Parts: sequence; C-alpha cells; structure tokens
Amino acid sequence: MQFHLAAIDYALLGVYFVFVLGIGWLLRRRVRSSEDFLTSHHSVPLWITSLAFIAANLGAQEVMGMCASGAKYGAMTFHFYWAGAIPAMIFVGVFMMPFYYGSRARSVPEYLKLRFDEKTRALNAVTFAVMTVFSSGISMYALGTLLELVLGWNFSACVLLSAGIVLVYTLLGGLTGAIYNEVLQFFLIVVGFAPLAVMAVSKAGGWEGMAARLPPPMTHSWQYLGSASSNPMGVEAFGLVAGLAFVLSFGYWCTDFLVVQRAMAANSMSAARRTPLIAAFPKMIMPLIVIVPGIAAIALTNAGVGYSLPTKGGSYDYDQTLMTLMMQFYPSGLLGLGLTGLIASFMSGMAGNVTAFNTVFTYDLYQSYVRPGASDAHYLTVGRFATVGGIAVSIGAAYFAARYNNMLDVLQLVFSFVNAPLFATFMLGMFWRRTTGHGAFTGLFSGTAAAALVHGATLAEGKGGWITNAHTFPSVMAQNFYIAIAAWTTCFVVTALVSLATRPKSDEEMRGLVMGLTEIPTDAHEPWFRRPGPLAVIVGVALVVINVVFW
Amino acid sequence: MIDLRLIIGVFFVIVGLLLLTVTGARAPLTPGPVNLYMGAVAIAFGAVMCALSLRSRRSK
Repeated sequence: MQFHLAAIDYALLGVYFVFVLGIGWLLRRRVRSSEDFLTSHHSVPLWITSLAFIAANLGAQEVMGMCASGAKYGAMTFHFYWAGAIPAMIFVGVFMMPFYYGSRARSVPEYLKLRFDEKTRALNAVTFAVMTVFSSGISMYALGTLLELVLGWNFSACVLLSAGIVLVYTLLGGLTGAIYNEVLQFFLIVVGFAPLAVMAVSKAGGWEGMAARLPPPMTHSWQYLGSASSNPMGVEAFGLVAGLAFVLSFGYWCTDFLVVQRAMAANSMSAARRTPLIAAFPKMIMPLIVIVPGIAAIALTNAGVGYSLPTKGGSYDYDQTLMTLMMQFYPSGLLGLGLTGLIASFMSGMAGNVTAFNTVFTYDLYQSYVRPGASDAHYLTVGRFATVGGIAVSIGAAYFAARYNNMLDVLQLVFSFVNAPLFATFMLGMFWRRTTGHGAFTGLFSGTAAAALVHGATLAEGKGGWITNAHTFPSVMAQNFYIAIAAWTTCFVVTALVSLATRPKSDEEMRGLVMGLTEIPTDAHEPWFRRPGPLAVIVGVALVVINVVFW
Repeated sequence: MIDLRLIIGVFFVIVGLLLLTVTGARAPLTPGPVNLYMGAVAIAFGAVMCALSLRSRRSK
C-alpha cells in the first residue's frame, strides 16, 4: 500500500509548515521571562485554552488508534471519549481547578510539593518527565514508520523534519506558541478527517445501513456490556465504569500536567475552570470523526462495495483502517489535507509533551535540586535548553523503539502502572485535610506495586502472567482496566492508613490547596454561560443524551 | 497579542483556494467533486474566522 502524492498535496503540506513556523515567529517577542516561556504567564484566552486542552491529547497515535479500535470494537470505542473523558473533564473543571489555579503552582508536581512534601513532588516530576519524552518518542516512531510505509519517505527524514519544526516553533513561542499551534492543528484535524467520516458512512448506507451489515454489538455502546463474552471488547460494565471511566480517565484528565497545563495557562480562575467544560463539547463530537470511519470500514467490507480492510494472519489488519480508507476515498488535494491533518496531530501531541517536559524539568527538577535561587534569565535559558534536550531524547526514544519494539510495550505498561494510582493521591490530597506527605508517597509506591502484581498474576492474550496465572482475562483491555482498579484502590487505602498514622500539615500551610481552606471566587453575578456550574450541567445532559442515542 | 482567528482564517482561505484548483481529481470511491465542496467549506470557515477577528479589532 503506497500513496502517490501530487504537487497540490505537497503544496498543502508546505503551507501548513509555513503557518506553524510563522505562529512561533510572531510570538517570539512575547517571551521575555521564564514564566512567559514555560507557563504563558496565565494570559491565554479561554477559547484557545479549551481547544488546546483537547488538541494536546489528540496525537497521531490517538487518531489512527481510535479508527482502528472503531473497526475492532465498534461503538464501544465511544467509551474512550464519553465515559473515559467527559465526566473527568467536568470534575477537573468544577472541583479540582480551583486548587490548581488558586495555589499559583506552576506545575502539577509543584502542587504536590505545596500540598504534601518534596519527595512526593520529586517522584511525580521524575516519572512525568521520563513518561513525556518517551511518549513523544513513541509517537515520533509511529509517524516515521507510517510515512515511510505509505509515502516511501525516509524514516530519519520524517522524524528529524517533524521534530525540527516542533523545536523551532516551541523555542520561539514557548508554551503560547505550542498552544496557539495546537488550535490550528485541531481545526486541521477536524477538516482533514471529517470528510472521510461523511463519505465512508454515506457509502455504507448511513448509520442504519451500517447497523444492518454489522453484528449488533458493533453499533451499540452500552447494550452488550452485561457480560464480557457478549461484546467485542471483552469487558463488562463494572470493569469499564470503574477501570476506564473512573480510574484511568480521572487519572489522566485530572492529574496529567500535559492537559492540566493548558487550563492553567488561562487568563483567570473562571476561564481555567471553564476550559475543560468548553473543551468537552468538541471532545464529545470527536468520536464521530475518528471512530465512526473505523466502524464504517467493516460495514463497507461486508457490503462488498469496492473497499475491503486488508487482512493479516487470517484476521483484519485494523492498524491499516485509516490509511486504506483515505486511499480509497481521498483524491489528490483532500489526500494532502488528510495527511497534513495526520502530521498536525503528531505535532500537537509532541509539542504538548515537550512543553510539559520543559516546565517540569526547569521548575521541579533544575530549580529545586540543581540550582535554586538563580536569576529568571537563567531559568529561561534552562527552559530553552530543556526544550532542545527533550526533543533530542524523544528522537533517541524513536530510534530506540525502532530497534526494540517490545521494550516500548513494557515501557508503556510501566507508565500505566505509575498513572493509575495518581488520582487516588490527588483525590485524598485535595478533599481530605488529614492526608499527609508520607501517606501520599507510600500510597503511590504501593499502588504501582499492586498494578505490577496484578499484571504478573493474570494473563490476557498472552500478556502478563510472569509470576503465576491466577486468572485469565478475555482481552488485554479488560486486564488493563482491572490493573488500574487494583492500583487505585491500593493507593487510596494505603495513603489513608499511613496518613492516619502520621502528622498532617497545619491548616495555615494548606490554605489554597485543599477543600474547605481554599477560597473559591463567587460567580453568581456572571451570566450562566460564564459560570462553571451551569456549563457542567449542560455538558452532563448532552453526555446522557448522546449515550442514550448510541445505547 | 496576535489574533489567532486571523491566522487560522487566512490559513483556511489559502487551503480552500488550493483545493479549488483540483476539483476534477477523483479517488476510487470518491462520490463527487469533494475538493470543490471541501474547498468551499474551508474558504467559508476561513472567512468567518477573519470576520470575527476584524469585528473584534473594530470594537477595540
């Protein structure tokens, strides 16, 4: 399978590169201090932070992976957006943002230092820094491999060109440059992929036509969750709600600095709180653009209308869903736009990782442990070097992935072990004054150990079971959900028990960091659309409606 | 502060104009002149963004 690009496709790609670099160039004069470069100095308008909030999460792997999951699991993949994102986005906007923004912390690890202690911050800062550069590297590897395969471009050229462009606009414009570009990239992703959804669904006979050509569990998101054996994902309702919708989703959207940083860049507390709520509206629509084409691909294959998903080893090669659909439906021009959208999604994901990395490195590692008390100009320079270093390590990780693919599977697994318990730490820390630093630190370690233990004691599709095989899950997805549940529960219980046995901080030290000791600005005089409460209710109602429609 | 709406608007107008230069291109399952439709959509979107930016500039 190989695309042949025409001059128009290259022209579209060229225009995109000029604009992303131009945005960095236009913003370069705004960067005068380390806070300008690393935190945008809380100056970004609400509509921009809202779109950046979801675009930073909309990497190339997400776009291609969700399309592939749509083909494999059908409408159940919607849960990664609806159950697996929107409730957490409501929660972070309404309940958690007052503590993040109100504390004036510059990063999530810094919040942990203020709320708990130095060691909890160090643990979070180091794991987060490693995770972001490796995530960026894995994404770079995926894009380089894809472009080499479908366009015949050289792997190294793809990796270096994309990384070089992200480096230039991030160095010039800092976090603001990355956020502004994420908004352009978001629109490009929508415009690049929406026509594919429309054409593929239309060709398959609309949603009704697709439903007629597919097994019923492929077009219903909740109806077949009664038991793991009755749906293609191999998960039952409890595993999905507790594992995905609660632990993994809240763990990511409420504690991952990559996304929280976008909201913290907003120009007021009110705007920071509304950022995830406004972002929830486009996030709710995204499955129709990135997942539905995958479902349509199977319907089209079954219909025999000129498209069939390639097979590998006797089953469908789901990873090829997006590219084969583009090949069949997109002529020159639209093909260039689609590919530009794909490259844009990669760049927005990478820039998100790099800007989160340089902030955590500069403030939470360098300023805290290497050279405290230096001038702001020094930290600005360190932030710039951290940007270059982060991208250099990401490139190294991409080549590492190319040589040791299995090693990166392991790495991703370890990341999930670390992420899952974090939400328990934050939940207790923000809403229970009695939580202590020793409790948080011990809880995080215990949660990670519990995750590793469950993975070692259970098996799913040949994965895990490296200690014993106490249970076999029908799918890796189900195994991941239960690992997350075990990690969160262990972290929650251990944190609570150790906290009860150790001395908490005084109320004065926790002012602005926990519920009951944080002043939340009143917004009763504002119109309803500027208040987080009514917005959250509207998002919640829309979420219920869309779930009922695709029940 | 630069106005991002103007940048996005100009970008999509250029994208739309480029797509309008290849309205005859077809892929195996393309239902019609999709470059024409998407070109028009991109120009319309770009124009709306530019208009929003200009309106905001005037009101200031």
